[in-house]
Amino acid sequence: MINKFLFLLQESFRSLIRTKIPTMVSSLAIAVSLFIVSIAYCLYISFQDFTIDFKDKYSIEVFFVENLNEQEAISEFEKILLMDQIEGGNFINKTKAADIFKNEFDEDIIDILGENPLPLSAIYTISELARNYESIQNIISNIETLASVDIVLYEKDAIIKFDQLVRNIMIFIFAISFFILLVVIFFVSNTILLVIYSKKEDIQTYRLLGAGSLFIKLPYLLEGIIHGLIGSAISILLLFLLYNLLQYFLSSFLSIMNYDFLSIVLLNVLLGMFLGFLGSSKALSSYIRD
Amino acid sequence: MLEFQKVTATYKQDIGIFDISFKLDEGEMIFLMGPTGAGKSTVLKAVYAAIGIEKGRIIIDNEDLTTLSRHKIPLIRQKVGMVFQDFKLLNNRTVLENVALPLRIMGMSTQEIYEKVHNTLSKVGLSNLYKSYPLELSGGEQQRVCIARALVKKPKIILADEPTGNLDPNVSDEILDLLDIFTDSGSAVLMSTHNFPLIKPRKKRFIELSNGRIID
Repeated sequence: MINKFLFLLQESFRSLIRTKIPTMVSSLAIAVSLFIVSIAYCLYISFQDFTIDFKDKYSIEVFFVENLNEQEAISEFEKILLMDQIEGGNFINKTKAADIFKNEFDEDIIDILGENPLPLSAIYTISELARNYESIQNIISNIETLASVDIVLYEKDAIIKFDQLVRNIMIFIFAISFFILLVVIFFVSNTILLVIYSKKEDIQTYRLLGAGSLFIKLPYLLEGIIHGLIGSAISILLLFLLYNLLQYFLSSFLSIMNYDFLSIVLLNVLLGMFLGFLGSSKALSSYIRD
Repeated sequence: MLEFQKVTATYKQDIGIFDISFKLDEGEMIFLMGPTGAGKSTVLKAVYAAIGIEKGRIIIDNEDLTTLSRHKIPLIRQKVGMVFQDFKLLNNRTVLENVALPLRIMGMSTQEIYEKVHNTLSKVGLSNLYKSYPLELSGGEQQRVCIARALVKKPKIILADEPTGNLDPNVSDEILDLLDIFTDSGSAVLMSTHNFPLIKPRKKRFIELSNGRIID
Protein backbone atom coordinates (compact mmCIF):
# COMPACT_ATOMS: atom_id res chain seq x y z
CA MET A 1 0.00 0.00 0.00
CA ILE A 2 2.77 2.45 0.98
CA ASN A 3 4.75 1.42 -2.11
CA LYS A 4 1.72 2.16 -4.28
CA PHE A 5 1.10 5.52 -2.63
CA LEU A 6 4.74 6.58 -2.95
CA PHE A 7 4.72 5.59 -6.61
CA LEU A 8 1.51 7.55 -7.25
CA LEU A 9 2.88 10.58 -5.42
CA GLN A 10 5.98 10.36 -7.59
CA GLU A 11 3.71 10.11 -10.64
CA SER A 12 1.89 13.29 -9.59
CA PHE A 13 5.12 15.27 -9.30
CA ARG A 14 6.35 13.83 -12.59
CA SER A 15 3.11 14.95 -14.22
CA LEU A 16 3.47 18.43 -12.71
CA ILE A 17 6.87 18.78 -14.30
CA ARG A 18 5.61 17.50 -17.65
CA THR A 19 2.56 19.75 -17.70
CA LYS A 20 4.21 22.97 -16.56
CA ILE A 21 1.86 25.39 -18.32
CA PRO A 22 -1.45 23.85 -17.12
CA THR A 23 0.06 23.59 -13.63
CA MET A 24 1.07 27.24 -13.71
CA VAL A 25 -2.30 28.42 -15.05
CA SER A 26 -4.30 26.37 -12.57
CA SER A 27 -2.09 27.36 -9.60
CA LEU A 28 -2.30 31.04 -10.55
CA ALA A 29 -6.10 30.84 -10.82
CA ILE A 30 -6.23 29.29 -7.35
CA ALA A 31 -3.77 31.91 -6.06
CA VAL A 32 -5.85 34.82 -7.38
CA SER A 33 -9.06 33.40 -5.94
CA LEU A 34 -7.44 32.70 -2.56
CA PHE A 35 -6.00 36.22 -2.54
CA ILE A 36 -9.44 37.76 -3.16
CA VAL A 37 -11.16 35.44 -0.68
CA SER A 38 -8.49 36.23 1.95
CA ILE A 39 -9.07 39.95 1.49
CA ALA A 40 -12.82 39.35 1.74
CA TYR A 41 -12.17 37.35 4.91
CA CYS A 42 -10.10 40.22 6.39
CA LEU A 43 -12.86 42.68 5.49
CA TYR A 44 -15.38 40.36 7.10
CA ILE A 45 -13.33 40.15 10.31
CA SER A 46 -12.79 43.93 10.42
CA PHE A 47 -16.43 44.56 9.71
CA GLN A 48 -17.49 42.10 12.40
CA ASP A 49 -15.24 43.86 14.94
CA PHE A 50 -16.72 47.18 13.92
CA THR A 51 -20.26 45.76 14.15
CA ILE A 52 -19.63 44.38 17.64
CA ASP A 53 -18.28 47.79 18.76
CA PHE A 54 -21.26 49.57 17.27
CA LYS A 55 -23.87 47.16 18.63
CA ASP A 56 -22.39 47.49 22.12
CA LYS A 57 -24.11 50.86 22.10
CA TYR A 58 -27.58 49.35 21.50
CA SER A 59 -29.81 50.11 24.52
CA ILE A 60 -33.45 50.27 25.58
CA GLU A 61 -34.83 53.10 27.68
CA VAL A 62 -37.79 52.21 29.93
CA PHE A 63 -39.96 54.88 31.63
CA PHE A 64 -42.07 53.76 34.56
CA VAL A 65 -45.63 54.98 35.24
CA GLU A 66 -45.96 58.09 37.42
CA ASN A 67 -47.78 56.52 40.38
CA LEU A 68 -44.83 54.21 41.28
CA ASN A 69 -42.60 55.24 44.15
CA GLU A 70 -38.85 54.72 43.85
CA GLN A 71 -38.83 51.43 45.81
CA GLU A 72 -41.57 49.96 43.60
CA ALA A 73 -39.79 51.18 40.47
CA ILE A 74 -36.53 49.54 41.60
CA SER A 75 -38.36 46.28 42.12
CA GLU A 76 -39.85 46.56 38.56
CA PHE A 77 -36.39 47.50 37.24
CA GLU A 78 -34.99 44.27 38.72
CA LYS A 79 -37.82 42.21 37.21
CA ILE A 80 -36.89 43.46 33.75
CA LEU A 81 -33.22 42.91 34.49
CA LEU A 82 -33.94 39.19 35.00
CA MET A 83 -35.57 38.86 31.58
CA ASP A 84 -33.82 36.76 28.91
CA GLN A 85 -31.57 38.66 26.53
CA ILE A 86 -31.12 41.62 28.93
CA GLU A 87 -27.42 41.94 29.69
CA GLY A 88 -27.39 44.76 32.26
CA GLY A 89 -29.07 47.97 33.25
CA ASN A 90 -28.96 51.22 35.18
CA PHE A 91 -31.79 52.56 37.28
CA ILE A 92 -32.33 56.31 36.94
CA ASN A 93 -34.09 57.96 39.85
CA LYS A 94 -35.45 61.50 39.77
CA THR A 95 -32.19 63.05 41.04
CA LYS A 96 -30.12 61.25 38.42
CA ALA A 97 -32.65 62.23 35.74
CA ALA A 98 -32.34 65.88 36.79
CA ASP A 99 -28.54 65.61 36.53
CA ILE A 100 -28.84 64.18 33.02
CA PHE A 101 -31.24 67.00 32.11
CA LYS A 102 -28.73 69.53 33.41
CA ASN A 103 -25.89 67.95 31.46
CA GLU A 104 -27.88 67.94 28.25
CA PHE A 105 -29.67 71.31 28.45
CA ASP A 106 -27.45 73.20 30.88
CA GLU A 107 -30.52 74.13 32.93
CA ASP A 108 -31.76 73.00 36.35
CA ILE A 109 -35.29 71.63 35.93
CA ILE A 110 -36.27 72.43 39.55
CA ASP A 111 -35.20 76.08 39.01
CA ILE A 112 -37.41 76.23 35.90
CA LEU A 113 -40.52 74.36 37.14
CA GLY A 114 -40.13 74.50 40.92
CA GLU A 115 -40.37 70.72 41.10
CA ASN A 116 -38.89 67.62 39.39
CA PRO A 117 -41.51 66.08 37.05
CA LEU A 118 -39.02 63.71 35.37
CA PRO A 119 -40.18 60.07 35.55
CA LEU A 120 -38.32 57.17 37.11
CA SER A 121 -36.60 55.23 34.32
CA ALA A 122 -33.98 52.66 33.43
CA ILE A 123 -31.52 51.99 30.64
CA TYR A 124 -30.86 48.38 29.66
CA THR A 125 -28.09 46.87 27.55
CA ILE A 126 -28.87 43.84 25.42
CA SER A 127 -27.00 40.52 25.38
CA GLU A 128 -24.72 40.02 22.36
CA LEU A 129 -26.85 37.44 20.53
CA ALA A 130 -29.97 39.61 20.75
CA ARG A 131 -28.45 42.72 19.21
CA ASN A 132 -30.67 42.69 16.12
CA TYR A 133 -33.98 44.29 15.23
CA GLU A 134 -36.18 41.17 15.63
CA SER A 135 -34.82 40.22 19.07
CA ILE A 136 -34.99 43.81 20.35
CA GLN A 137 -38.59 43.99 19.16
CA ASN A 138 -39.35 40.80 21.16
CA ILE A 139 -37.72 42.20 24.30
CA ILE A 140 -39.71 45.41 23.99
CA SER A 141 -43.01 43.53 23.55
CA ASN A 142 -42.26 41.62 26.75
CA ILE A 143 -41.43 44.80 28.68
CA GLU A 144 -44.51 46.60 27.38
CA THR A 145 -46.79 43.93 28.86
CA LEU A 146 -45.78 45.11 32.35
CA ALA A 147 -48.35 47.49 33.94
CA SER A 148 -45.55 49.43 35.64
CA VAL A 149 -44.05 50.47 32.30
CA ASP A 150 -45.23 53.66 30.63
CA ILE A 151 -43.05 53.98 27.51
CA VAL A 152 -40.15 52.01 26.00
CA LEU A 153 -37.80 53.87 23.70
CA TYR A 154 -35.00 52.68 21.45
CA GLU A 155 -33.21 53.75 18.24
CA LYS A 156 -35.54 51.78 15.98
CA ASP A 157 -34.62 53.31 12.59
CA ALA A 158 -30.90 53.28 13.22
CA ILE A 159 -31.00 49.62 14.31
CA ILE A 160 -33.07 48.56 11.29
CA LYS A 161 -30.79 50.40 8.89
CA PHE A 162 -27.64 49.11 10.49
CA ASP A 163 -28.93 45.52 10.54
CA GLN A 164 -29.82 45.77 6.87
CA LEU A 165 -26.44 47.23 6.02
CA VAL A 166 -24.62 44.48 7.92
CA ARG A 167 -26.75 41.82 6.24
CA ASN A 168 -26.18 43.25 2.75
CA ILE A 169 -22.44 43.56 3.22
CA MET A 170 -22.16 40.01 4.56
CA ILE A 171 -24.27 38.64 1.68
CA PHE A 172 -22.11 40.55 -0.80
CA ILE A 173 -18.86 39.22 0.68
CA PHE A 174 -20.14 35.63 0.79
CA ALA A 175 -21.69 35.80 -2.69
CA ILE A 176 -18.50 37.18 -4.25
CA SER A 177 -16.34 34.60 -2.48
CA PHE A 178 -18.67 31.76 -3.41
CA PHE A 179 -18.81 32.86 -7.05
CA ILE A 180 -15.02 33.16 -7.29
CA LEU A 181 -14.57 29.72 -5.73
CA LEU A 182 -17.05 28.17 -8.16
CA VAL A 183 -15.27 29.74 -11.13
CA VAL A 184 -11.94 28.45 -9.88
CA ILE A 185 -13.25 24.90 -9.35
CA PHE A 186 -14.53 24.98 -12.92
CA PHE A 187 -11.20 26.35 -14.14
CA VAL A 188 -9.06 23.81 -12.27
CA SER A 189 -11.37 21.03 -13.39
CA ASN A 190 -10.92 21.97 -17.04
CA THR A 191 -7.16 22.25 -16.67
CA ILE A 192 -6.93 18.80 -15.07
CA LEU A 193 -9.29 17.50 -17.76
CA LEU A 194 -6.83 18.72 -20.41
CA VAL A 195 -4.03 16.89 -18.59
CA ILE A 196 -6.18 13.74 -18.45
CA TYR A 197 -7.02 13.98 -22.16
CA SER A 198 -3.35 14.30 -23.00
CA LYS A 199 -2.75 11.03 -21.15
CA LYS A 200 -5.79 9.07 -22.25
CA GLU A 201 -3.68 6.42 -23.99
CA ASP A 202 -1.56 5.97 -20.87
CA ILE A 203 -4.75 5.63 -18.82
CA GLN A 204 -6.04 2.95 -21.19
CA THR A 205 -2.74 1.06 -20.85
CA TYR A 206 -2.92 1.34 -17.05
CA ARG A 207 -6.43 -0.11 -17.14
CA LEU A 208 -5.40 -3.00 -19.39
CA LEU A 209 -2.51 -3.81 -17.07
CA GLY A 210 -4.91 -4.18 -14.15
CA ALA A 211 -4.93 -0.76 -12.52
CA GLY A 212 -8.07 -0.06 -10.52
CA SER A 213 -9.98 3.23 -10.58
CA LEU A 214 -8.30 4.56 -7.45
CA PHE A 215 -4.83 3.83 -8.83
CA ILE A 216 -5.71 5.81 -11.97
CA LYS A 217 -7.49 8.64 -10.18
CA LEU A 218 -5.14 9.21 -7.26
CA PRO A 219 -2.27 10.88 -9.19
CA TYR A 220 -4.72 13.41 -10.66
CA LEU A 221 -6.32 14.07 -7.27
CA LEU A 222 -2.87 14.57 -5.76
CA GLU A 223 -1.96 16.78 -8.72
CA GLY A 224 -5.04 18.94 -8.04
CA ILE A 225 -4.09 19.20 -4.36
CA ILE A 226 -0.53 20.18 -5.29
CA HIS A 227 -1.93 22.87 -7.64
CA GLY A 228 -3.88 24.10 -4.62
CA LEU A 229 -0.80 24.13 -2.42
CA ILE A 230 1.24 26.04 -4.99
CA GLY A 231 -1.66 28.48 -5.41
CA SER A 232 -1.94 28.99 -1.65
CA ALA A 233 1.82 29.61 -1.37
CA ILE A 234 1.58 32.31 -4.06
CA SER A 235 -1.48 33.83 -2.40
CA ILE A 236 0.18 33.91 1.05
CA LEU A 237 3.23 35.59 -0.47
CA LEU A 238 1.04 38.21 -2.19
CA LEU A 239 -0.92 38.82 1.03
CA PHE A 240 2.29 39.20 2.99
CA LEU A 241 3.61 41.72 0.45
CA LEU A 242 0.31 43.60 0.45
CA TYR A 243 0.22 43.68 4.24
CA ASN A 244 3.74 45.06 4.43
CA LEU A 245 3.04 47.57 1.69
CA LEU A 246 -0.11 48.81 3.43
CA GLN A 247 1.65 48.91 6.76
CA TYR A 248 4.33 51.07 5.19
CA PHE A 249 1.90 53.53 3.63
CA LEU A 250 -1.06 53.28 6.01
CA SER A 251 0.54 52.21 9.28
CA SER A 252 -1.83 54.23 11.45
CA PHE A 253 -4.88 52.67 9.78
CA LEU A 254 -3.51 49.14 9.97
CA SER A 255 -2.57 49.42 13.60
CA ILE A 256 -6.24 49.09 14.50
CA MET A 257 -6.58 45.88 12.49
CA ASN A 258 -5.46 42.92 14.48
CA TYR A 259 -5.41 40.02 12.00
CA ASP A 260 -4.41 36.54 12.99
CA PHE A 261 -1.99 35.81 10.12
CA LEU A 262 -1.76 32.13 11.07
CA SER A 263 -5.49 31.65 10.54
CA ILE A 264 -5.21 33.39 7.15
CA VAL A 265 -2.32 31.07 6.20
CA LEU A 266 -4.37 28.06 7.33
CA LEU A 267 -7.41 29.32 5.41
CA ASN A 268 -5.27 29.63 2.27
CA VAL A 269 -3.62 26.22 2.58
CA LEU A 270 -6.80 24.30 3.42
CA LEU A 271 -9.01 26.12 0.93
CA GLY A 272 -6.31 25.79 -1.76
CA MET A 273 -6.07 22.02 -1.22
CA PHE A 274 -9.85 21.74 -1.16
CA LEU A 275 -10.24 23.72 -4.41
CA GLY A 276 -7.58 21.62 -6.16
CA PHE A 277 -9.16 18.41 -4.88
CA LEU A 278 -12.69 19.46 -5.94
CA GLY A 279 -11.46 20.63 -9.35
CA SER A 280 -9.68 17.37 -10.10
CA SER A 281 -12.56 15.29 -8.67
CA LYS A 282 -14.94 17.06 -11.02
CA ALA A 283 -12.63 16.42 -13.98
CA LEU A 284 -12.21 12.77 -13.04
CA SER A 285 -15.92 12.19 -12.54
CA SER A 286 -16.61 13.48 -16.03
CA TYR A 287 -13.83 11.41 -17.65
CA ILE A 288 -13.11 8.29 -15.62
CA ARG A 289 -16.08 6.22 -14.59
CA ASP A 290 -15.77 3.51 -11.93
CA MET B 1 -6.36 -22.96 -16.96
CA LEU B 2 -8.65 -21.08 -19.38
CA GLU B 3 -11.94 -22.41 -20.59
CA PHE B 4 -14.59 -20.92 -22.85
CA GLN B 5 -17.99 -22.61 -22.48
CA LYS B 6 -20.41 -21.63 -25.25
CA VAL B 7 -19.48 -17.95 -24.95
CA THR B 8 -21.41 -15.26 -26.82
CA ALA B 9 -20.32 -11.63 -26.60
CA THR B 10 -21.48 -8.97 -29.04
CA TYR B 11 -20.88 -5.29 -29.74
CA LYS B 12 -23.83 -4.72 -32.02
CA GLN B 13 -26.27 -7.10 -33.60
CA ASP B 14 -24.40 -9.87 -35.39
CA ILE B 15 -20.96 -8.45 -34.61
CA GLY B 16 -18.95 -10.26 -31.96
CA ILE B 17 -18.34 -13.89 -31.04
CA PHE B 18 -20.97 -16.62 -30.83
CA ASP B 19 -21.10 -19.91 -28.99
CA ILE B 20 -17.32 -20.19 -28.61
CA SER B 21 -15.98 -23.16 -26.66
CA PHE B 22 -12.37 -24.23 -26.18
CA LYS B 23 -9.88 -25.03 -23.45
CA LEU B 24 -6.32 -23.77 -22.97
CA ASP B 25 -4.15 -25.95 -20.74
CA GLU B 26 -1.05 -25.19 -18.73
CA GLY B 27 2.04 -24.74 -20.95
CA GLU B 28 -0.08 -24.82 -24.10
CA MET B 29 0.03 -22.32 -26.96
CA ILE B 30 -3.06 -21.83 -29.10
CA PHE B 31 -3.31 -19.63 -32.18
CA LEU B 32 -6.58 -17.90 -32.98
CA MET B 33 -6.72 -17.72 -36.76
CA GLY B 34 -8.98 -15.86 -39.12
CA PRO B 35 -9.34 -12.79 -41.31
CA THR B 36 -9.87 -9.27 -40.01
CA GLY B 37 -13.27 -9.04 -38.30
CA ALA B 38 -13.44 -12.77 -37.58
CA GLY B 39 -13.61 -12.15 -33.83
CA LYS B 40 -10.04 -13.03 -32.75
CA SER B 41 -9.52 -9.83 -30.76
CA THR B 42 -13.01 -10.15 -29.27
CA VAL B 43 -12.10 -13.56 -27.84
CA LEU B 44 -9.06 -11.98 -26.15
CA LYS B 45 -11.13 -8.99 -25.00
CA ALA B 46 -13.61 -11.36 -23.42
CA VAL B 47 -10.77 -12.89 -21.40
CA TYR B 48 -9.57 -9.55 -20.04
CA ALA B 49 -13.14 -8.39 -19.49
CA ALA B 50 -13.10 -5.53 -21.97
CA ILE B 51 -16.40 -6.75 -23.38
CA GLY B 52 -19.47 -8.03 -21.58
CA ILE B 53 -20.37 -11.69 -21.90
CA GLU B 54 -23.99 -12.35 -22.83
CA LYS B 55 -24.09 -16.12 -22.72
CA GLY B 56 -21.83 -18.90 -21.57
CA ARG B 57 -18.98 -18.91 -19.07
CA ILE B 58 -15.27 -18.15 -19.08
CA ILE B 59 -13.25 -19.92 -16.41
CA ILE B 60 -9.80 -18.52 -15.63
CA ASP B 61 -7.71 -20.38 -13.11
CA ASN B 62 -10.87 -21.90 -11.53
CA GLU B 63 -12.60 -18.51 -11.32
CA ASP B 64 -15.76 -17.79 -13.27
CA LEU B 65 -15.17 -14.49 -15.04
CA THR B 66 -18.83 -14.04 -15.90
CA THR B 67 -19.91 -13.83 -12.26
CA LEU B 68 -17.14 -11.44 -11.17
CA SER B 69 -18.15 -7.97 -10.02
CA ARG B 70 -16.77 -4.95 -11.90
CA HIS B 71 -14.34 -3.95 -9.19
CA LYS B 72 -12.64 -7.36 -9.41
CA ILE B 73 -11.83 -6.97 -13.12
CA PRO B 74 -8.45 -5.28 -12.37
CA LEU B 75 -7.48 -8.33 -10.30
CA ILE B 76 -8.16 -10.64 -13.26
CA ARG B 77 -6.12 -8.35 -15.53
CA GLN B 78 -3.27 -8.47 -13.04
CA LYS B 79 -3.24 -12.27 -13.38
CA VAL B 80 -3.06 -12.18 -17.17
CA GLY B 81 -0.12 -10.98 -19.28
CA MET B 82 -1.06 -9.01 -22.38
CA VAL B 83 0.87 -8.35 -25.57
CA PHE B 84 -0.55 -5.92 -28.12
CA GLN B 85 0.01 -5.33 -31.82
CA ASP B 86 0.56 -1.60 -31.17
CA PHE B 87 2.68 -2.40 -28.06
CA LYS B 88 0.84 0.13 -25.84
CA LEU B 89 4.08 1.27 -24.25
CA LEU B 90 4.32 4.57 -22.40
CA ASN B 91 6.60 6.57 -24.66
CA ASN B 92 7.71 9.00 -21.97
CA ARG B 93 8.95 6.16 -19.72
CA THR B 94 12.12 4.14 -20.01
CA VAL B 95 12.08 0.45 -20.85
CA LEU B 96 12.68 -0.30 -17.18
CA GLU B 97 9.73 1.86 -16.09
CA ASN B 98 7.45 0.31 -18.71
CA VAL B 99 8.27 -3.23 -17.67
CA ALA B 100 7.99 -2.29 -13.99
CA LEU B 101 4.49 -0.86 -14.41
CA PRO B 102 2.43 -4.04 -13.72
CA LEU B 103 4.47 -4.63 -10.56
CA ARG B 104 3.92 -1.00 -9.49
CA ILE B 105 0.20 -1.59 -9.93
CA MET B 106 0.48 -4.68 -7.74
CA GLY B 107 2.22 -2.59 -5.07
CA MET B 108 5.62 -4.31 -4.93
CA SER B 109 8.64 -2.67 -3.35
CA THR B 110 11.13 -0.87 -5.58
CA GLN B 111 13.95 -3.30 -4.81
CA GLU B 112 11.81 -6.34 -5.64
CA ILE B 113 10.62 -4.65 -8.82
CA TYR B 114 14.15 -3.87 -10.03
CA GLU B 115 15.26 -7.47 -9.47
CA LYS B 116 12.30 -8.91 -11.38
CA VAL B 117 12.53 -6.36 -14.21
CA HIS B 118 16.26 -6.93 -14.78
CA ASN B 119 15.73 -10.71 -14.76
CA THR B 120 12.92 -10.47 -17.30
CA LEU B 121 14.78 -8.01 -19.53
CA SER B 122 17.74 -10.36 -19.68
CA LYS B 123 15.39 -13.19 -20.72
CA VAL B 124 14.07 -11.16 -23.66
CA GLY B 125 17.56 -9.93 -24.56
CA LEU B 126 17.11 -6.26 -23.65
CA SER B 127 19.36 -6.02 -20.58
CA ASN B 128 21.45 -3.20 -21.95
CA LEU B 129 18.50 -1.15 -23.24
CA TYR B 130 16.73 -0.66 -19.91
CA LYS B 131 17.42 3.08 -19.88
CA SER B 132 16.15 3.63 -23.43
CA TYR B 133 12.79 5.11 -24.32
CA PRO B 134 10.40 3.10 -26.55
CA LEU B 135 10.69 5.50 -29.49
CA GLU B 136 14.45 4.95 -29.54
CA LEU B 137 13.89 1.23 -30.18
CA SER B 138 13.02 -0.79 -33.30
CA GLY B 139 9.56 -2.38 -33.69
CA GLY B 140 10.93 -5.79 -32.71
CA GLU B 141 12.60 -4.36 -29.60
CA GLN B 142 9.43 -2.54 -28.62
CA GLN B 143 7.50 -5.79 -28.90
CA ARG B 144 10.11 -7.50 -26.71
CA VAL B 145 9.55 -4.76 -24.12
CA CYS B 146 5.82 -5.42 -24.37
CA ILE B 147 6.44 -9.17 -23.88
CA ALA B 148 8.75 -8.45 -20.93
CA ARG B 149 6.00 -6.29 -19.40
CA ALA B 150 3.55 -9.17 -19.80
CA LEU B 151 5.96 -11.74 -18.36
CA VAL B 152 7.41 -9.80 -15.46
CA LYS B 153 4.50 -10.69 -13.17
CA LYS B 154 4.85 -14.38 -14.08
CA PRO B 155 1.28 -14.76 -15.38
CA LYS B 156 -0.32 -18.14 -15.90
CA ILE B 157 -1.90 -16.94 -19.13
CA ILE B 158 -0.44 -14.66 -21.81
CA LEU B 159 -2.82 -13.09 -24.31
CA ALA B 160 -1.15 -11.83 -27.47
CA ASP B 161 -3.26 -9.80 -29.88
CA GLU B 162 -1.58 -9.85 -33.31
CA PRO B 163 1.85 -9.34 -31.67
CA THR B 164 3.63 -9.71 -35.02
CA GLY B 165 1.20 -7.56 -37.01
CA ASN B 166 3.58 -4.62 -37.32
CA LEU B 167 6.81 -6.58 -37.63
CA ASP B 168 8.79 -8.01 -40.54
CA PRO B 169 8.87 -11.85 -40.95
CA ASN B 170 12.28 -12.47 -39.32
CA VAL B 171 11.44 -10.42 -36.25
CA SER B 172 7.98 -12.03 -36.12
CA ASP B 173 9.60 -15.45 -35.92
CA GLU B 174 11.84 -14.28 -33.08
CA ILE B 175 8.82 -12.98 -31.17
CA LEU B 176 7.00 -16.30 -31.61
CA ASP B 177 10.12 -18.16 -30.43
CA LEU B 178 10.17 -15.96 -27.36
CA LEU B 179 6.53 -16.63 -26.53
CA ASP B 180 7.09 -20.34 -27.18
CA ILE B 181 9.97 -20.44 -24.70
CA PHE B 182 7.73 -19.17 -21.93
CA THR B 183 5.23 -21.98 -22.41
CA ASP B 184 8.03 -24.29 -21.21
CA SER B 185 7.81 -22.69 -17.79
CA GLY B 186 4.11 -23.50 -17.60
CA SER B 187 2.58 -20.27 -18.94
CA ALA B 188 -0.22 -20.76 -21.44
CA VAL B 189 -0.33 -18.52 -24.52
CA LEU B 190 -3.41 -17.53 -26.50
CA MET B 191 -2.34 -15.62 -29.57
CA SER B 192 -4.41 -14.13 -32.36
CA THR B 193 -2.97 -13.76 -35.84
CA HIS B 194 -4.12 -13.64 -39.43
CA ASN B 195 -0.66 -14.65 -40.69
CA PHE B 196 -1.08 -18.36 -41.42
CA PRO B 197 2.35 -18.83 -43.10
CA LEU B 198 3.97 -17.61 -39.86
CA ILE B 199 2.35 -20.23 -37.64
CA LYS B 200 2.12 -23.08 -40.17
CA PRO B 201 5.63 -24.47 -39.47
CA ARG B 202 4.94 -24.59 -35.74
CA LYS B 203 3.21 -27.72 -34.57
CA LYS B 204 0.65 -25.95 -32.41
CA ARG B 205 -3.09 -26.15 -32.02
CA PHE B 206 -5.02 -23.42 -33.74
CA ILE B 207 -8.63 -22.33 -33.70
CA GLU B 208 -10.04 -20.86 -36.87
CA LEU B 209 -12.69 -18.20 -36.57
CA SER B 210 -15.01 -16.73 -39.15
CA ASN B 211 -17.80 -14.24 -38.51
CA GLY B 212 -17.36 -14.73 -34.78
CA ARG B 213 -17.81 -18.51 -34.90
CA ILE B 214 -15.34 -21.38 -34.68
CA ILE B 215 -14.93 -23.26 -37.94
CA ASP B 216 -14.64 -26.99 -37.39
